[in-house]
Amino acid sequence: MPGMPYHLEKGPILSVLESFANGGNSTSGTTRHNNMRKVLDRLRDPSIALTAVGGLDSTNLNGGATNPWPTYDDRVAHIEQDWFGYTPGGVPQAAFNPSIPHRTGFWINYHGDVEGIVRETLTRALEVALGVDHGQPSSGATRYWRVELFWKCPNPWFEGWITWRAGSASSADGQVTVIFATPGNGGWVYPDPCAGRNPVVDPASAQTDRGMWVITHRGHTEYVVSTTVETPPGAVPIPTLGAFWAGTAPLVTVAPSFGDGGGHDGGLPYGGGAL
Amino acid sequence: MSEVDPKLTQLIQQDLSRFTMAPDDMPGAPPGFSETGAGLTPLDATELKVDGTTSAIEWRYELVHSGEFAGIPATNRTVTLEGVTLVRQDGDQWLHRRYIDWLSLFGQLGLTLSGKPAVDAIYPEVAAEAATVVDPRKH
Repeated sequence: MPGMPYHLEKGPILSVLESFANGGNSTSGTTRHNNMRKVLDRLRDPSIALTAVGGLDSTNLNGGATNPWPTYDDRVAHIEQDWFGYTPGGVPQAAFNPSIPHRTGFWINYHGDVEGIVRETLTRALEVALGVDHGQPSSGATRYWRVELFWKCPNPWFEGWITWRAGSASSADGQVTVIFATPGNGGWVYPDPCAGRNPVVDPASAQTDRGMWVITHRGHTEYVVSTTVETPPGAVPIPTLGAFWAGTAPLVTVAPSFGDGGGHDGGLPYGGGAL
Repeated sequence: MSEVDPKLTQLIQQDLSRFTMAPDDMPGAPPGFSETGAGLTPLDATELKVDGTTSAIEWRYELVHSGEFAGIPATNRTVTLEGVTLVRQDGDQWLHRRYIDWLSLFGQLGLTLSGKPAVDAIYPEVAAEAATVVDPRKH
C-alpha cells in the first residue's frame, strides 16, 4: 500500500486483504462463514504477527514489473516498516520520545501504535460482520456480512473506522465498511483526477461487481498568500496554513484505475494458504 | 546594532494590535487574540539599522487565542508569536514588512501538516499519455 495519487484508495493489497477478510473466494456461504471465523480467531491470537495472519501471502500479489513488493517477504517488510514503524529486521518501534519525536513508519508528523489500531480495527470489523459481541467466541457467529476496506489520507493521526448496515434478514445480507484514516505518507495527489494511469472518466454504468468513483473539479489551483508585502501599520497579512485550493475547472466523475488505488470489478481474490 | 528605540517598539506593537482587535469585516466580533500582559518583547534588545529610513527588530509577542483566527475557533491556548519587522519611514507614514513564524503559530494552535503534495503527474509517462487521450471513456 504505497499511497496512491488520490485521497481514497483500495488497490491491489487492500483488495486481497478484503478478499481474505471475507473468507476467500468460495461461493459457499458455509465455507465463507467458517473462514471468516478462522480469520477472526487468527486476528485475536497475539502469538500470530499481524502480517502473518493472512492476506499478504497471496500469490495474486506476486510479481509484476512495476510491483514494488513482488514477494511475500517484501510485503511483510513494507507493512512492518512503513506502516507499523518496525526497524529492518523486525524490531518494533521504540517508545515515543518527546525530546526527539520520531514518526511511526512513513506517517508524516505522527507517532502511534498503528499495528494495534489495525489489528483492533480488523478484529472489530470481523466481529461486526459475524455478529459476535466483542471478545466472545467466534463459534457464536450468526451471520457473514461482506467486509469492504478503504484507505483515506491525509488525517492528522491514525484511525480505524467501522460502519455497517444490515440488509434483509438473510445472514449474508449486510455490509461492514472499514476506513483506515491515516496521516500523509509522503505520497502525492493529483489536482486533476483524470491525470492518473488510465482512469475511466465520466463512467456511465455501474453494472459491475464493485466500483469506486470520485466526483470533484477537473482541475484545482493553489494560491499562496504572501505575508511579507509592505503595508501600512495594522494591515498584517494573515496566511492560510499551506496552500489555499480553488476548484478551477468543471466537475468530473472519475473511476481511478486499480493500479492507482481504485476499485476493480471482481476485486482481487486471496490466493494464499491461510484459509 | 543599537539599543531599541522605544518609538520603534511602539510602532510595531501598534501594528500587531491587529491581532487583538475585532476584524474590520466583522464589526463586533471578538478579536482572534487577547493580551496576556507580557506585551511585545524585543529580543536581545537590539535594533538593526538597515539604512537611513529602515529599521528592524526581532520580537516576541505572547497572546491568548481567545477568538476566531484564520477560521480556527478559540482554543484559549497561550501562544508565542515570533518575528522580525522592518519599519520604513515614507514621508510621514511608517510602512511595515513582517517576517512572522506562522508555521509555529499554527502548530501552537494544534494544527498539523500531514498533506499529500499535489503534482501534475507522479509517473513520467502519465502526462504524455494523458495528453494523447481523446476520449478517456474508451479506456
